[in-house]
Amino acid sequence: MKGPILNRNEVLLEVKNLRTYIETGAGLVRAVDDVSFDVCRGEIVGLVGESGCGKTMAALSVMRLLPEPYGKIVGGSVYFEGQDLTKLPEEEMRKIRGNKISIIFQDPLTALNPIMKVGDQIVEAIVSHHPIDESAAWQRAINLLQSVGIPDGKVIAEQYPFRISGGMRQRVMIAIALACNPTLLIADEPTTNLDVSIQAQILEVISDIRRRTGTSILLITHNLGLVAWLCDRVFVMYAGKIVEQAPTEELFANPAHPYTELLLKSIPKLESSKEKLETIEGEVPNLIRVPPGCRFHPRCPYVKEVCKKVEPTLFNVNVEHYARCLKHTAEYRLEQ
Amino acid sequence: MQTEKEGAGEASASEVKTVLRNLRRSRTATFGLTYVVGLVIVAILAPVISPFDPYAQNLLNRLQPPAFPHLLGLDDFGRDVLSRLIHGATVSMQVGLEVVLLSLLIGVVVGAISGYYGGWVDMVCMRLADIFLAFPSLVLAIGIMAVIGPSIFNVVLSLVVVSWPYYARVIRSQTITLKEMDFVTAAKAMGASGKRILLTHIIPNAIPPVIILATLGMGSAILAEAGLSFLGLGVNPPTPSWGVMVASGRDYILQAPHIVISSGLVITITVLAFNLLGDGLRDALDPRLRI
Amino acid sequence: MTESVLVEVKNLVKHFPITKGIIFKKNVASIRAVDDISFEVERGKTLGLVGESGSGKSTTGRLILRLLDPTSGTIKFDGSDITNLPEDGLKDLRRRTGIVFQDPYSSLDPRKRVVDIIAEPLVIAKWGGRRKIVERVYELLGLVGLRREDAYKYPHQFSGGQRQRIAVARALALSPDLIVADEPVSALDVSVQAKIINLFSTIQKELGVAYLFISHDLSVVRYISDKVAVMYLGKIVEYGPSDVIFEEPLHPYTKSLLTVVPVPNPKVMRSRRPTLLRGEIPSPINPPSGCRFHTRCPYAIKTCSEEEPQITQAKPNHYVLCLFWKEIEEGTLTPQN
Repeated sequence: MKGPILNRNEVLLEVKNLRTYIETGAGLVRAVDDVSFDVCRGEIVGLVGESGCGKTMAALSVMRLLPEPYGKIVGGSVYFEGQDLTKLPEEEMRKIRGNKISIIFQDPLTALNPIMKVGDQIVEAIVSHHPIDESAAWQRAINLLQSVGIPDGKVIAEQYPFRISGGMRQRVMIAIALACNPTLLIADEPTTNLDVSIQAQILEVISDIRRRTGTSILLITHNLGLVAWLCDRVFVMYAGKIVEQAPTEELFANPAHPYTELLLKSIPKLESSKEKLETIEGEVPNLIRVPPGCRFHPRCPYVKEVCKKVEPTLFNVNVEHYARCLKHTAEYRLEQ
Repeated sequence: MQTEKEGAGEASASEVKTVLRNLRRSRTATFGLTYVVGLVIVAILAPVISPFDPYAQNLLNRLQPPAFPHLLGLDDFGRDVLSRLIHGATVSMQVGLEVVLLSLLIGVVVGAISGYYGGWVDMVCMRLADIFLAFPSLVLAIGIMAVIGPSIFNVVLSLVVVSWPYYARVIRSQTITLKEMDFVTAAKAMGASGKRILLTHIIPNAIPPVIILATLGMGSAILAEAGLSFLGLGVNPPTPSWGVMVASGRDYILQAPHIVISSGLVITITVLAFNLLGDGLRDALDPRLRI
Repeated sequence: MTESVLVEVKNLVKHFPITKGIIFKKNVASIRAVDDISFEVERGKTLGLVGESGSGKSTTGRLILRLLDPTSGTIKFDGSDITNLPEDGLKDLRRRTGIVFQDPYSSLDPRKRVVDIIAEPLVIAKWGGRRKIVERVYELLGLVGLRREDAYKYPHQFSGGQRQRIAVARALALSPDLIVADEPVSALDVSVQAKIINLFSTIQKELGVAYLFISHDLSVVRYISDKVAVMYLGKIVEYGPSDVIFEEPLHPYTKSLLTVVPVPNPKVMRSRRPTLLRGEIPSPINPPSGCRFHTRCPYAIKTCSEEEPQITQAKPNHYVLCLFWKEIEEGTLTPQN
């Protein structure tokens, strides 16, 4: 399911028909249910959705960092540089994690070891994949800190995580993620806990990384504003499925799935004020028992009988633009 | 799902039912509950159900091993071990309950006030608690018993003195966390008094974690009573107490192991049952886990 | 003071002392959370209070409700001075105000049923008998879009958005004149957030309640507010009608924020030139000298670190706390590099 423009050789990560299920006390959660997406070299791709849509589980599946023993990849494949990560032995996977693929999380305080100097944590990330001597690694750590916008890297490297601010910690996390020059950086809600002015700084760092090193970035977020700011292409997730995918400008200009459309209309606008916000009826479905047919049908304002029965596939609506909505079928149009 | 009911406010009988239903979901908790309920019944009905008089001596057949009609045999004075165990349950339950309830009461009052008001009140209360906690508790209890003399009431008193600080500490830290919660601030914004906030918001939310401590406390109070009685500082012979029974059986551990084994086993199982019940209650009391 | 003003705040200050020592406490420093701010909340209108962490916006909300005692300044509620009233003199204020918090999980007592939660302010105010109170709870549930049956459930049985509705119902119980809403939609998903924002607007239209709406989200504040006060490190740096603040901002801080707020529109995002603020938000324990914003201000010159600006009326109803707003506006002062 690939658009005609992209060159296959450039595809760095290709997730195909991924299914990740999580065993819970209440039942089996189909967190990621037949999800396909891809990231090309040097591209920033957004995976966007509200809480519980499965976006984080999709990211963790790529890294094979699912919560043991409840979370399992039960189907599909994750091709990274041509190799299927789901089939790799754990030993091989470890050589990829933090080396070729890195991840940064929402909460940098819990992701950093509180009793280890910031510099030592970066050094650890470097030497665990590339054994070089201590002082060279320390120097590299300082360089990395400078590259993520901490000019006095020397001073910060000597600090413990609790001594530095939230924005600074996120920069440190990014430095750790960049320690081994990864080809893919996964950023899971990287600025959600940060203030607006600090968020802007971090976003600049992230887009600067792509400019400088050509690292591909998979941005997981709930914030459509971030997507508009950074991403080249977007995948919208709802209830464990990709419901729409398109180049960023196209998605915002012509949303083809009712969910995307309503989501965009439900955000208060900074530029203009006061018309009543659109809302989406009802609540996000429970991923243990999803609605039959189209998963969005109980909340969809355009729902017809067919939507309750037929599960839509992704329909090509424009160049590189796909939507999982029956509106784009003859059957829907014919129904009264 | 609860059906519509008039009259908001009173903690309804259905709430107890929900807790019990949740408790029954866990096998270990069910065992704990069943055992404890059984023990309470035994303790209350001891005079009725014990097969023999626990004080009646049969010196001719002393140390007789288990055999019909003395199912658990006879002790060193030829008294029926089973009957003495049954009567011992009364002593144990009485000591356990009184110790836990009294220390809980003191602990909740001291802990909640200390945590909520802070400042010098907190300072005084907690330093006092620290002083008690600094002593090895059994040694302190032994000391108190040595001064005030052995009796069941004094056992309870000395155990309360050494155990209330634990409850106070837990309640205090719970209170400190809870008083920063938004729902407490919301209550203040409605004009609720300190007393109201403590009684309706803080204490009900602070108690559940203490329930497990209290059930564990039942176990250790029973154990401590047995220990004190074993040392001759607790219940006076010939009053049947499990500790006294272990103590007197100790001298005959080789000739008549059934005395030590049966009383020791009863103590062990009882303490275990209380711990299992405590664990189960903690889960069952959490409304977030209710379905 | 005109008839339309509900809350009038003048030169409000709140310093939290940092103490050392157990028995002999010594003040070693203070957190200058709110430092000399003045504003008004009009009846039936919304004042948006926007700022980043450490700006003092939540402290301000709590001061107005007298959940904290002010260090100095005056707060007038409906004409009467409540600044120094003791707790038992605050009954009237408590009845006439409500509060809604950010986290719908910690703002409702987990061990109480919804009916008891919403009834609590009515019970405290001795508003009526049990029956009457329960009737009122049903009415409130309807008002916020919940069902009667929901009254007998526990908070954990609801989603975040529904819990926020319960919190709103509780705040409305005594038909207050003012609700302080402290980041009421920040913890919610986008689609849920829209519903709660709409709920706030509808309720204001129907009941005429005034809001002090505290948020870090500029888009939400713009949407809901009639007037806006932008806070930075305990100071109001800009204050005026919402549209004016967002369309013709004067303070460099507001200007910069408006260029870095992500908006869901790639065309806007790509055409604008973000003015990044350098460095970190300073600590309110030891705020910078002179203008507190000078360490991050793109326009800052030497004077800014020496001279403390006073709030000035730049245009009708539009106030700004900047020494050089005029020069910036006229283009005679340009960003230093």
